[in-house]
Amino acid sequence: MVFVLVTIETRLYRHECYACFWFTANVPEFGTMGIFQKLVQFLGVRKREVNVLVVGLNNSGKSTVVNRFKNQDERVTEIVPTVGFAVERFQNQNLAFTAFDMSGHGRYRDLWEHYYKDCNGIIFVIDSSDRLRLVVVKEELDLLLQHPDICNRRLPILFFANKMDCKEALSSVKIAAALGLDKIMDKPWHISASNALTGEGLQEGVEWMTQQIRDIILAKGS
Amino acid sequence: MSRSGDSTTSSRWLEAYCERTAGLKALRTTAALADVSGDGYGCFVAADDNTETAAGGRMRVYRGTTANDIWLPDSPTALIAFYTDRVEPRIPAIAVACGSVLYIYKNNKPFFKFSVPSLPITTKETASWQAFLQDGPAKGDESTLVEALSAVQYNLLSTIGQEVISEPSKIDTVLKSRGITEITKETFYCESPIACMTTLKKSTNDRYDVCCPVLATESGNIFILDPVNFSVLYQANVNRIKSTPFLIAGLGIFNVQYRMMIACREKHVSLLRKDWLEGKTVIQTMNAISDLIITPDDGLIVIGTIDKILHCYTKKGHKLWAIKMAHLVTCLCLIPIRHLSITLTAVGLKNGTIQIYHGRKCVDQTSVPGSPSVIRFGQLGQEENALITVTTEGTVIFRILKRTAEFQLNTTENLPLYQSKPLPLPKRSALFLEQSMREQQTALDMHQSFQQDLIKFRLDAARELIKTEFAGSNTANLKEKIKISAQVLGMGPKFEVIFNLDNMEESKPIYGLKMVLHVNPKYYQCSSNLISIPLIPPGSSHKVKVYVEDKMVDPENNLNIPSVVRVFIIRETTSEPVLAALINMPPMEATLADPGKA
Repeated sequence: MVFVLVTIETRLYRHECYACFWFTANVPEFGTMGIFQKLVQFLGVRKREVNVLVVGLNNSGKSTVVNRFKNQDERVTEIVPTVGFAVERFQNQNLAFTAFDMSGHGRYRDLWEHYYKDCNGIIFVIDSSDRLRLVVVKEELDLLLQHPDICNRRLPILFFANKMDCKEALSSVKIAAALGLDKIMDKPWHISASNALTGEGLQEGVEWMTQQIRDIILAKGS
Repeated sequence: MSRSGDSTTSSRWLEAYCERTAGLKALRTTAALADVSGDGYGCFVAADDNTETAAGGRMRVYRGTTANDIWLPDSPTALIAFYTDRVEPRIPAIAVACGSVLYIYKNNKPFFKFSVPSLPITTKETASWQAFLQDGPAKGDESTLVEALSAVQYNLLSTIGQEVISEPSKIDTVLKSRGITEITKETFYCESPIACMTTLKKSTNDRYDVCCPVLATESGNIFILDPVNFSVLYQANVNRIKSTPFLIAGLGIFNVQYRMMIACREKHVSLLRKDWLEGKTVIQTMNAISDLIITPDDGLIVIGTIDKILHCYTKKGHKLWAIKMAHLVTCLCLIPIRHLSITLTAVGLKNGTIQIYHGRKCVDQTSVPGSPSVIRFGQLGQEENALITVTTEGTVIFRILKRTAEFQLNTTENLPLYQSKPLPLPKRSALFLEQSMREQQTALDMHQSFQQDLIKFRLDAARELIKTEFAGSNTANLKEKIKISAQVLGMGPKFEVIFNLDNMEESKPIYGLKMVLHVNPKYYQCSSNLISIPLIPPGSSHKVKVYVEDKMVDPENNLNIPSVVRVFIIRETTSEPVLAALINMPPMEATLADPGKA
């Protein structure tokens, strides 16, 4: 599936696709692995690699959030609007994350759905100071949850109510209510207020995500 | 995720924000979308005169959902947003017209002030005022003054002159209140408030290019300003005839070619093009215009009039189509959707419906609480496709077009009417050419033979008519299929007239008929004038016998008297006779007529 994906994107983002290709070659084939290998992985002998999809509207801070997860020396100082998507890698608690940092611009949101199939978790970044576009966030979230590659899976969804430092920012509780998160029954979700510039609230969220993915993989493995 | 299902079943618009207590009384001309601070965050800017305190106005800037008011010194009539330079960051100027002054703001701060130049009064008017004022204030002949002023074109008159013309009886109060005794530049000048404004791209058609503000004044002058130093670049008149502009829309580039459409209160639309000193009427409407827009791709003019009709004209003023709307059209707005590369038209109706048209086809419909007074579409905040509506009640509504929204467009139906069907003209065949050659060569002969035939035909027709007129006494009604024939018996003075009524119908009997005999009572007398006719079975006849007596009034001139008996068969229910016949009575034998003399 990933290979198909790459061919789709080659036309548009030639420079990006190499990174993507290189990465996919390293993804372990879970289906063909023996039970012993799996056990070894979960005991932390070998690092597990998981894919997470980072989505959200444009200017919500997705790239800044992902940038924060990276090691100090790998971080970039200036964040520019993402074109198409970017692939970033970081680690948390012995779990190697590969983040697909999608562009949130209206014309690139069509790309999101191509990555739904291969992801183990979704990070949804929301600009909590942009009250005007909360309806757009809800619309995009509904489209995401209704997608056939998502709706029947137990995918953990982590919401970052970003830009909590802004003075007109809504609280995470209000955003959860506005987006109707309480109606999501079949998927574990978590919302945490964050400030990607300082890194506040990010660690809490990603720890929850790591735990959820670990649980799901263990449940599958057993 | 089913895209088509999304767009058909539910609304294509997301309700982002609705402020019912905004109390914003924005007009069609006083609202714009602009990136006020130059940070890429689209703001909605509107101006109105709704101030709680003193006279004046305010300009409200919506940044997201938070509003910020800026006080204006006067009631605003028009508002535009445009880029004045290419300096980074790109901050657009917001220009608000209050009276005859244009206030320009940048980043919510006053930036520049421009006053519409006042024009000197015409020599004609000066002369008439001089004649009036030479005997001291308010002593001259008022009627001659008014007459002299009327000869001057209205929009070239001074403000005082216009007042005098409109109310000649109050001439004294007008002059006294201003203390006018002589003609000075300060008192007599031609000034006019700005009625409407638009922008015109200066050198390129780029979305962010520098624009020239275009002002149209109440008196019918058009000023195109330089965006840098706000000097008048070009000046023109709206029209040769008296016109009061109230809406203006421009298309094109100032340095290359442009056209401006100016809707006037006199129910016409004037066209002004580059290098024209005055505009030309291209469209005349039956009713007052409520709003006007020009579509950018093909330059079509869409007009809403107060008789609930939406018109579309070509750029030359030819009417393409008109749609009768269910309600009054209050405002129009262009909806350019870039990712679908289409331009739609939003039509705001009095009952709160906003219909969205692609060409003449309604593709979407949405509604707002209250009648919309202004609609704008463009970038609001980070969102590119936002629809902003302000209602007459002062409600502000922000809506966002769904990313997945699609408009079912059928391109063939939207072609202009005159292109859709070519005329079915046959090709020029060899036979056609041959015949036309022959027509050219023997034109005279052909004409004469045709005329001869025509005269012959007319003669035949006249002959046939006379033949039927005089053929026999039998008269028949084709509709009723009834026939009457008469027989006159006797030598006079008493005649026996026997009428024979035939029912020629095959299956229907005839009944309810009456016979009326009409004679001149001076000469004739009938035994009975009204005879009821019994039912006549189909195919049979009925005989009626009547005695007609000649009165012998003037036996010498017997031949001169009108010897006719008129017979009418009537039906009681209808006023028209079923049948009418004329019977010529034979002249009486002179010997029998006067036996006494013989």
